[in-house]
Amino acid sequence: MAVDLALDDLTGAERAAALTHLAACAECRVLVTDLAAVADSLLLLAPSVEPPSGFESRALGRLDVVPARRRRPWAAVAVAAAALAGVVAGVALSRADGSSLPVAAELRTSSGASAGNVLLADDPDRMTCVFEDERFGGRYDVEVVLADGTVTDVGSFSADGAPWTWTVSLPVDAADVREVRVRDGDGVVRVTAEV
Amino acid sequence: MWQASDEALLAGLAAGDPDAAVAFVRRYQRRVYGLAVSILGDRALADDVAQEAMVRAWRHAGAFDARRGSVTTWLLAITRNLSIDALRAARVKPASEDVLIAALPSTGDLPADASVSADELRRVARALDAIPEEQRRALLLSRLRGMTAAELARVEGIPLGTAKTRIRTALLRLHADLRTQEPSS
Repeated sequence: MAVDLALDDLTGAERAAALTHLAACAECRVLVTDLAAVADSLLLLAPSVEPPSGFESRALGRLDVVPARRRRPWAAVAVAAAALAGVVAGVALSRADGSSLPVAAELRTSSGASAGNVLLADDPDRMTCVFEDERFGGRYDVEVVLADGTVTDVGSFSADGAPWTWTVSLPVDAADVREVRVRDGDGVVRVTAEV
Repeated sequence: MWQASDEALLAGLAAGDPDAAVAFVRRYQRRVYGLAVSILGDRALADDVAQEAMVRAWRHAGAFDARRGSVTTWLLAITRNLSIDALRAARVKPASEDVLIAALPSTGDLPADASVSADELRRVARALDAIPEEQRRALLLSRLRGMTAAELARVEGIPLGTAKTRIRTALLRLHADLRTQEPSS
C-alpha cells in the first residue's frame, strides 16, 4: 500500500483510505516519502537533448524576462542581451549618465573559439561570467587586468560543465577592467575576454 | 562570490530576477526538453511543452518543498505531467516505449550537469541495472512515461496484477538497494 501511494496509482477511494492511515502512522509517512523520493530519482535518468535553436529566448520571453532593448537595471539588460543575442566583443550599452558600463565582452579560447561572455557593471562593481564551452569542468581561477596593467585576482569557482553562470563582486572599479583571464587548476589560461 | 544552488536559482526565478531566469533555463533546458521529446516523439510539441514546464516552475516556485526532493526532480515531474497531458490533448501517438527505454543513458555514459552529480546518477543507474529487465522496464515506464499499472498492462499485454507486481517489486528493490548503499548518518 505504501508503494502504491508513493507511485500515486490509486483510485480516489483507495487514496482516501491510505491517507487516513498515514495521518495516524508516522512510520508509514516516512516510508511513503522515502519510496516517493526513490521513484522520483528515476527522472534524473531522463536523457539530455539539445533543444531547437532559439529555445532559450522563447522560454525567457514567456517568463517575461527583459529583452535586450528595454532600459532596466544592468542585470536585466546585460545578462539578457548576452544570453539572447550572442554578444559581440566590446559592446557598450549607454546609460543616461554617460557611463560606459554595463559592458559585455566575449570569452574566447586560445584558438579563438567563443566560450561564453563576461558582463561588467558598477554600483556595485561586479562581473558575471557566462560559460558555454562544453568542455568546462573543474576548478578555475579568475583574474582581471586593469587599464594601468595591474593584474588582480577576483576569485575561484568550480564548474561541473557548461552552461555555467558565475557572478563575483569586484575589488576594483569595473570601469578599469580591460581583460579577463580564466586559468585552470594548472595555472594555464584557458579563456580570455578583452573589454 | 557565489554559485547559485538549484534552490537559489528557483527562488530567484520566482522573484522575477532576470539573472536567475537565464541561469535557470540554461541549467535545465536540455534535461527538460530531453524528457519531453522522449515522451512525445514530436520535437515541436516537445519544445512547446518544455517551455511551458519552465513557466509552470516559475509560477509554482513557491510550492516547491525542498524536504520532498530536488529542484531537478520536481521540474522533471512537471515536465513529465505536462507531456502526458499534451499526449492526451493532441491525441499524438507517443514515442514508442522501446525508444524511450533505449534513450536512457547506460551506466557508463551518464549526463551529469550543474543540477545532478554524476555520482548520484551512477548510484541510481547501478541500482536499476541490478533489477530484472521486466521490472525495470515497468518501473521506468511508470516513472518516465507516467503510465498507470492499467496502461502498462494494456501496452505490454500482461494481466493487471502482473503489471502492478512488477512496478511495486521494482520500486521496493530499488529503494532497498539505494538505502543500504548510503552511509548511516
